[in-house]
Amino acid sequence: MALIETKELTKIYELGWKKRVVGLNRVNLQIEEGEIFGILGPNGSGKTTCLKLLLGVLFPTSGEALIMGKGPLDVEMKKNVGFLPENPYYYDYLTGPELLKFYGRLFDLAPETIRKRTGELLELVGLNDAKRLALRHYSKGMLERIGLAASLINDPKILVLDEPTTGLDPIGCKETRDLLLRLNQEGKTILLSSHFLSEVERVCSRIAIFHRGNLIELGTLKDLLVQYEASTLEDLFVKSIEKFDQQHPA
Amino acid sequence: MKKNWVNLFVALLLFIPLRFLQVSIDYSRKLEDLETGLLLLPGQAAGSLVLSGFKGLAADLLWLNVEEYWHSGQHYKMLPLLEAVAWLQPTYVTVWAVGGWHMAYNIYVQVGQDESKISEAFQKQQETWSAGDRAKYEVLVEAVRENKAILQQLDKKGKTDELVKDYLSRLEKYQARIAALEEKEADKKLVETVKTLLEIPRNKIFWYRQGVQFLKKGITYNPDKYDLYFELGWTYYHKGMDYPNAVKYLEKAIKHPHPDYVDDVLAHAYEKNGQIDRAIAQWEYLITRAPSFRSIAERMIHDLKTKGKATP
Amino acid sequence: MKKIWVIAQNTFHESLRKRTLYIVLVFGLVVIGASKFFSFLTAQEELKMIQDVSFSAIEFFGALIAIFGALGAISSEIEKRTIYTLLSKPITRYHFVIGKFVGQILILLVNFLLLCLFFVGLLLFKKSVPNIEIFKALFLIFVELLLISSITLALATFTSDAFNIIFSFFLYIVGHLTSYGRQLIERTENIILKGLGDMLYTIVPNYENFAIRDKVVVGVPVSWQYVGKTVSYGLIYIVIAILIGIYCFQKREV
Repeated sequence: MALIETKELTKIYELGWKKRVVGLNRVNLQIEEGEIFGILGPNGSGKTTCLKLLLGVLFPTSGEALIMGKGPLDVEMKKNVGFLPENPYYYDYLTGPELLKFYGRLFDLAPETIRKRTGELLELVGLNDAKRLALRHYSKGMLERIGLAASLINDPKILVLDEPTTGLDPIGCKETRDLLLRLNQEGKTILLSSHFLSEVERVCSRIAIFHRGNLIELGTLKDLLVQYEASTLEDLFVKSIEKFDQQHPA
Repeated sequence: MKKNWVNLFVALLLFIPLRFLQVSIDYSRKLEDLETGLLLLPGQAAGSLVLSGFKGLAADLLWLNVEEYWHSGQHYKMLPLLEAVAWLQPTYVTVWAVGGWHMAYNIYVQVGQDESKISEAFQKQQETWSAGDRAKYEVLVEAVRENKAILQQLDKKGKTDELVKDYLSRLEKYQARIAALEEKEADKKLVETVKTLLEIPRNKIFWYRQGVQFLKKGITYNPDKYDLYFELGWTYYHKGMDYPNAVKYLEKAIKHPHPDYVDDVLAHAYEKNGQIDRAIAQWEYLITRAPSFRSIAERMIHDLKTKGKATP
Repeated sequence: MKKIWVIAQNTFHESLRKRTLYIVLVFGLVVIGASKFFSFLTAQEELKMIQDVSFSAIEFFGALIAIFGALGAISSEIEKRTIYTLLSKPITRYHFVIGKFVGQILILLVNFLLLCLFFVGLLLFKKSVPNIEIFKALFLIFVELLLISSITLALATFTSDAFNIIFSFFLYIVGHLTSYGRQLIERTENIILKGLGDMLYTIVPNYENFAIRDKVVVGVPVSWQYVGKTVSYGLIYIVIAILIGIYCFQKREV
């Protein structure tokens, strides 16, 4: 059984008088344990929708989304999941440690555990010096990093990251990349969505390409490059989208 | 989430016990007199709708204006405000008490404040009359004299229903005669002056009665408090010298928790009403109730027993 | 249960940064304080004035705090996108709604106590020891505020802020007038109108139930029985509101 899977997952938005927008169209995904899986696609392609459906923030029109075999509303399942949303923006009056403590308590973690992990995580993401600073004084990059720390507070088996490198400078990107690889080596399964092709290239073991709500390609990078006779991921990306558009005119 | 509909179902179901509870509350509100009635005149209904949450506050603000008018001597302007405040908070005893006082005492005095000025002017006028005038206007002079007598009696003898009937009939008699005089070619201004004078006792009687009525109305809203019974009893006693009524209402006042002076006034009222034995019994009761009254009470009892009269 | 408390604490903490609440609180205190300046009235009248003004102020400004507090509770999470992170945590949606409400209770409690303390302080300053009736009236006002808050919160789970604020105020005014409405309806002959009126009377929260200050201010006691009934009414209605809020929020997509 795949760790994360979607079965014919569909989301249709009804926008008033007979106007329907297809957010996601019958997407089938299987993500195995231990993978770093990347979802790519242009804006509006359904990446975030897919993630939201997995986390129970949105409800599917049809189909299923499962994590560890459980539906998105399963509370026990969520104890094993860490989530970093796109453009994280937190309770700006809290400090970094306070934020981690808040989330930690929602996981029913013991206070000592929270304290220990907070220390470790702040060290990990390099925010130890900013311990006393309120989040509203954080730069965008700092917010990403504290967000990452927050997603790890419960030491989850599964990490879901929505555009984790937005707003990071090249050094930050590299650090995040290294961190993700390390976490993966420790046994975590990572699902991330991004439109930074270069990052995805260097980190993901398998990728999925989304376009206009459809999953148009799925596989390892190597296989897909061969399949499309593309030399870079960017090439592959453009070609696969063109092919889909030809076959399915709007 | 599967059982989410249960939430909605239970919520809607809970409206049923809520309804029953509301009915019970409505009943309690009536019983404990928390309810205020609704006036269906559109203007008043609208007014009351707007004020509903802040009736007390509105009443207080209007009350401030009442005080304002009182201190600046504009007594008539107080009246509609008093009515309004009493309507907003009928259980606020002070409004009724003060309103009744303003009517029976202050306005009572105010309607007669020009009396001496006018009658003096009239006196002066008389000195200019010829013999013929004197004969023609004799009825006017009599009327003015009788008027003065009535005014005195109002203050000194009192305003029981019987006395008032007497005053009014005497006034009417003169008014009829003056009317007859007017038809002939008489000095209009002079007649008007006298007519004005004759109105004064009427007005006084009117305002005294208004005060009594106002207090009675207040009693209907506050039947379980001594305050307005006492106010009315006192008004009858002191202003109206209407001792039967005074006793009647003071006796009602003592049926509710009340301060000692109520018993004191009742004792005096009994005496003035000719119920000497009752008066003595009342003084004796007062000694047991309020030892501070002992010396006064003992003197009263002594005087009543020996002279049959104690109150000056 | 602990999770509810964690969310409640967070909500309360957040409210400390909401400027509107401070403004309303200060206004309330100022109005109560202003009532002291009617010293040209007789002592008894002045006391009544202070009580009338204070009760009205506590109720009105308390209602504002209840509405403004609950208003932003959910919409701020959505606007700030913090709700995504929150919902990805092992909490249910009802944890969220109830936690938010408990947060409201904390907010109201603190503000209400401040207003009351000021009021009682003023009374003591005027050498009038407040009797139990005054506390009964205050207690009922507090339950009323909780009710207002729960309704605004329930509305916040499925309406926009703009609609919510208007409707909540509207309900506040109408809720004070329901008993008048009922008396009017009682006098009609039309059965349909009567039925409709009856239904509306049941559904619309009757805030007048909590208004015993008219009697208290003139010194007449109100029975504990009445207090008990009214508190029960408030509690039942609060449960209704929260359940509806939970129902709506569980269906809500963000």
